[in-house]
Amino acid sequence: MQESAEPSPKPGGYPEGAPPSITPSLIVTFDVALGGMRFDWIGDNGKAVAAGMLKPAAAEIAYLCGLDWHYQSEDFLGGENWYDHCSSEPSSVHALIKRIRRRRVLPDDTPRVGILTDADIGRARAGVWLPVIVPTGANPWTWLGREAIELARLVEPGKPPADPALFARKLMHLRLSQMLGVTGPIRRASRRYRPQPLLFDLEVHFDRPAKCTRFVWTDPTKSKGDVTALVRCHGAFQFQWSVRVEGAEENEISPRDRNAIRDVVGGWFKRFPTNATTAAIWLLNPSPGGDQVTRQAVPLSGKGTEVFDVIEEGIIAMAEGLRAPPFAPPGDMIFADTDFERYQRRLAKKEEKRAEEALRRQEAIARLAEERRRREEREAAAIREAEARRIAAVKSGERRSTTVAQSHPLPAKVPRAAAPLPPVQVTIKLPPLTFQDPALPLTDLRDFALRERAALWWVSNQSDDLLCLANCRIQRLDYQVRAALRVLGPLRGRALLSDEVGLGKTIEAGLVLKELLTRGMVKRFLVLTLPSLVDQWSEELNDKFGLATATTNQPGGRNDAPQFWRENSGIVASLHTVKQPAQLEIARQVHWDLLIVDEAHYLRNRDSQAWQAVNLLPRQFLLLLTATPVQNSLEELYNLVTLLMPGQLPTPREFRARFIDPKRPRQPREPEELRRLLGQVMIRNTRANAGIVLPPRHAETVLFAPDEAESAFWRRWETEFRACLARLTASQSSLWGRLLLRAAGSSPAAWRSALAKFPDAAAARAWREQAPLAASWRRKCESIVPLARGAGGVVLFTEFLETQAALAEFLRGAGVPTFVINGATPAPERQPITEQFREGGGALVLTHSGTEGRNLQFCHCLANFDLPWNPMEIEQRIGRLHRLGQHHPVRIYNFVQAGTLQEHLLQILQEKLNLFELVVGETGLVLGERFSGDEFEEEIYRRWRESEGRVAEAFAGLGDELAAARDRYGEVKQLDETLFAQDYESL
Amino acid sequence: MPYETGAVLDFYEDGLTALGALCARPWHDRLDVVAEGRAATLWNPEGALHAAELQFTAPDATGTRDAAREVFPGCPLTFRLAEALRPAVLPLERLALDAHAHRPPDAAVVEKLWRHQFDDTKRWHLTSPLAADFHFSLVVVARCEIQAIDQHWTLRRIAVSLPDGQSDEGLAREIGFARASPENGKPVNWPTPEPARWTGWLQRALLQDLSDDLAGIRERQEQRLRRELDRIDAYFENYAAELTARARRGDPAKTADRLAATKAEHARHRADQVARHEITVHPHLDALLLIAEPAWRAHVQVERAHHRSETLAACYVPRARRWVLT
Repeated sequence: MQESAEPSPKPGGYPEGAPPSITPSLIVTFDVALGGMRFDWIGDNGKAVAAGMLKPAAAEIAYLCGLDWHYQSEDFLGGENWYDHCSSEPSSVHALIKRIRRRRVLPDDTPRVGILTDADIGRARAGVWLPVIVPTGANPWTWLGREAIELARLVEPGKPPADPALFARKLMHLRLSQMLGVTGPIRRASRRYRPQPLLFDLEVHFDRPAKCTRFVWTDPTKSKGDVTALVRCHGAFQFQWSVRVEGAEENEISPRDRNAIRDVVGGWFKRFPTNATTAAIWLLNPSPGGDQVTRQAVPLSGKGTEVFDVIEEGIIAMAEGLRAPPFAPPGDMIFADTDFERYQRRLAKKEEKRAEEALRRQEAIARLAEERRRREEREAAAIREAEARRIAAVKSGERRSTTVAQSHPLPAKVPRAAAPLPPVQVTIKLPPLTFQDPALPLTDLRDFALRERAALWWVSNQSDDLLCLANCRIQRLDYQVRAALRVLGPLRGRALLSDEVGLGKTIEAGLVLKELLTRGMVKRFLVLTLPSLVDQWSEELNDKFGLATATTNQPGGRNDAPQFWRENSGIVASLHTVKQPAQLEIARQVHWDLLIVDEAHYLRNRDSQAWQAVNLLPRQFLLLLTATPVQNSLEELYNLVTLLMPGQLPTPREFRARFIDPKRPRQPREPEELRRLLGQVMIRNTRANAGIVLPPRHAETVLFAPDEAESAFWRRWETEFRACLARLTASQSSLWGRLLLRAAGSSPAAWRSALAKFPDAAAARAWREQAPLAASWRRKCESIVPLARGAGGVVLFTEFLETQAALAEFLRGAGVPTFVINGATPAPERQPITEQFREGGGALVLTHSGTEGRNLQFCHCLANFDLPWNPMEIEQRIGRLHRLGQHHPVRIYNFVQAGTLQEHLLQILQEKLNLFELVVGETGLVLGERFSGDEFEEEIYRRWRESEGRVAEAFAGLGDELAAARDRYGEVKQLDETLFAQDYESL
Repeated sequence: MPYETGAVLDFYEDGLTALGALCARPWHDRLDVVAEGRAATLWNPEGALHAAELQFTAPDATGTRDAAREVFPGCPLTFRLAEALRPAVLPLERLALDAHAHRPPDAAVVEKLWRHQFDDTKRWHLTSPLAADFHFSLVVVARCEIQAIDQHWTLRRIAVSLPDGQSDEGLAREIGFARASPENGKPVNWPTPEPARWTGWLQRALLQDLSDDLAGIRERQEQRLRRELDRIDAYFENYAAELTARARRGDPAKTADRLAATKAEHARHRADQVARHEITVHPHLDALLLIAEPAWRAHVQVERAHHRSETLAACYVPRARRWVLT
């Protein structure tokens, strides 16, 4: 380190123009005359007590290039000289700056920085100390380090200059020119650091009288504005941006939107670096007289982003205020007085919301901490109590071993820190003794011993496995058994079963119910479901689990509600019935041991009657069944879980704050935490984890074109039939319309049979006599024969007994082995008939009643000989074959006559609803509430009646509705798959 | 009791034979059964002839089980057999135990036993000689079902002395080894059944007998109830706090209504959980046996601390080596 021959930094040489200081402080001056950065430490008397100089050092070897430091102080102990050096490497420079900072630690550690030049450079005037504002938020020492790095980087290795002082002055001049923005880019610009330019002060005026927004950037050292900019609305949809710099004006037009504002204003801010701390925004309002303008300051907190936000919002508010009606001349634009006030309010509300959000988060954190603290306290108390008990037990044991007769009370329990717990009642319910009195006493105890052994084995035979399985007529599937055991075990009888569609939630719920009944833990149960599924549930419970139930569809449920609810121990009820206040009032008087709610997504709204009704019903065990627990928002899931276990998830507000992103209400914020919480109440099996793969399905339409005579007859019949229906009452019209139209699509026999009781007997007779239907019937039946002779035969479904009989007769006549099951077939005969068909093939002709409980997965060919108007019914038919155990692709043949209502119906079911591609069970979810029950049939009939012959057009709207419903369901399904894709079993 | 295949097989053989079936063991884990009538009702309600080979699988065997021909833990056939051996209406059976002593006990001995049993006795005097008689007890076998959200089963045999309803653990323990008195023994004057009183005594004795089991279950229930109540309390308190905070902005009357509803809901959920965690014991009686055992009846003049002298009718039970006041 060589000592500089340059003027030393003499303490006491107070920088000219620098602000006087009466407290100990440090002044750093970028001094051109001295060719470096001068550091002056000012004492408490206002005089400099030490000084240092950091200036460029040139050398041939690169690592010797950089900055030299010379420090001199005048203390009462004598002067001190300190020489140091750093390279141009940032770490070296920062280390030196750190050493400088530590040399003299002052109470006010923030240095004041300025520029002192010997000639005018930009805003810096010769001989005048120009203060430099350190950018907001930057550490001044770090900033100084960076400036020193920039200075050091100007020094290049090479032959040392002849005049080092002049060299240093030149480099300093160059650096300051860059800082003040009066020359081009720095010769050796750093890749990692951009020097901070000087910052402008900014004033923004939202000028309502002048209908513009004005920007004024001012050099902090001058009073006059350097740059002015103006924003006006241009036409109805554009902004005009004008900026005037040093007399030159630049104009720009942009669309009237936020992106444009961000682009242009952002560009200005880059061009004129602005000091956010000094920025001011004003609202210029016309005074009541109109000739003067009043100024009102917009309060700012000094954050850079806030200034930008306020400007953006202000310009938007101005644009909205100046929005002109279409075709209005520009002069007629209205700048509403209230716009800025509205904006102010909006801003305030936004701030308030932000603050509330922060407060809420803090509250949640505090609450969780408090809960954790309480829990830990409880655990600690429990440990202490257990320890006290253990010690007491040991002591009493000791006492017992020494003094048997002595009896002292046990040591008092350590009091629990937690709130007192209500006592857990123990009740013994021994029924009154009833017995028979044998005449003779026993001569030995063998019978007694055998009965005792029997009782012992009865108890020992209790198993952790499901005891009910042997009494259920179901295929044992491991995932279903696991689900039932999990409900009965860890979930303690309250669970949300949300398996994917088609995996058998009903079976799982049935298993739980049957097991609890078998074990005697449930005496009364209630199943709530949609009206359309009440009978299906009742049938399934009866067929699969041997449970007889009363339903709200039975006359007893409608006629004598109090008796119905009180006297039946097992009820399947419609959710719609239970939510009626009168019914609910009775139902809630009963304590239900088990409550099952099917299609529980109808309880997604906490304010709904259904949710409130289920919440009110007293129950011991509760199962909620839904494949789609979330349809629109995570709050729906929240409501379901709260119904099961209030408090499992936090309060609604906290749940929203913690888990719901307002911008993406379907995506949880903390998915892992949510999964953990849900895992304690929810079971979800998916096809993937259950390992279920079903073969594909193929649907084919078999279309019959009737001959001309028959076509003409049907056209005429339809016209006359409409006229006849118009003469009937609405309910009669609906009844006969639906029956005869469906019968017409089934078979001549069914149609003729239905006509027999038609109110207009004369017309019916005429139609029966005139109808030329034999040819098309024969053609339709003949097409069945090849299917029946195929491998495995064909299962034929029809709605009408007459069709079944006629078809069976035809097929038998054609030599096809034909088997028939309908409602009249005795239950014990059904299985043998099915077995015969399984072994021999041919045709199995079924009606709806004959379908119940039949599993036909051994066959893979199905024909819908007629088409039910209810898609759910068609789905059930398919579900008989397309189920677990089916190993072949299932072929579905739909028989319809061209040009009839059935053809149009099939078209929309196939093309719009995708009925034949949906997984069994999904149709109901697609149709939803809109078409629950027989509303779909009613809708078809209504559209036919109003179509006046243009059935295709009438059905097009229905098709669109179905397509939209299908798309909606697709979205929901996708959402649930995304949300619950993870494994919920291992939790 | 642990599930042992051999023991189950023994039980099946004895049980089915008692019901009238023919049984044979072709192999160590097989039982051939030919049943008709009452025994066949285990397989068909009509009681038609049924022949089957039952296989008794080990409790740890894996694989699918066939309930029609296999016997395994949880097998429904075992339940059905046990139920078939239980009469539809419980008989109150009587058994007189064999006398084991023909001479009365020594007065000094019985006095000592009296003083040990009633330690506040100051003076004791036998006012009549010890006369041979019978002491009666009621022995009950009960399967106790303990419901505490889940279910526990335990089999209990309890005995109560009839005159005073005191639990007699000794008799309950030893009844399996007792011998009936010969048919030509002394006639027994059986007491008149008092079902109402007996029910109360049995209930008390059962509770006492189950106290250890119940203590464990109760502790577990308390822990669970504590967790549930903490969860519910925290939820509703926070919810109420949120409502209160919201009240500053909203309609106060509406908020007050909501707060009241929340409070009611909170109370309802608490009550629901408290009720849900209650423990209920359902005893299912399987056997009811009235025991007459030899005893010595006498009148005793006794003076106890802070009591006047009195003459008591009492019965000395040699088996239990204790006095029973009649």
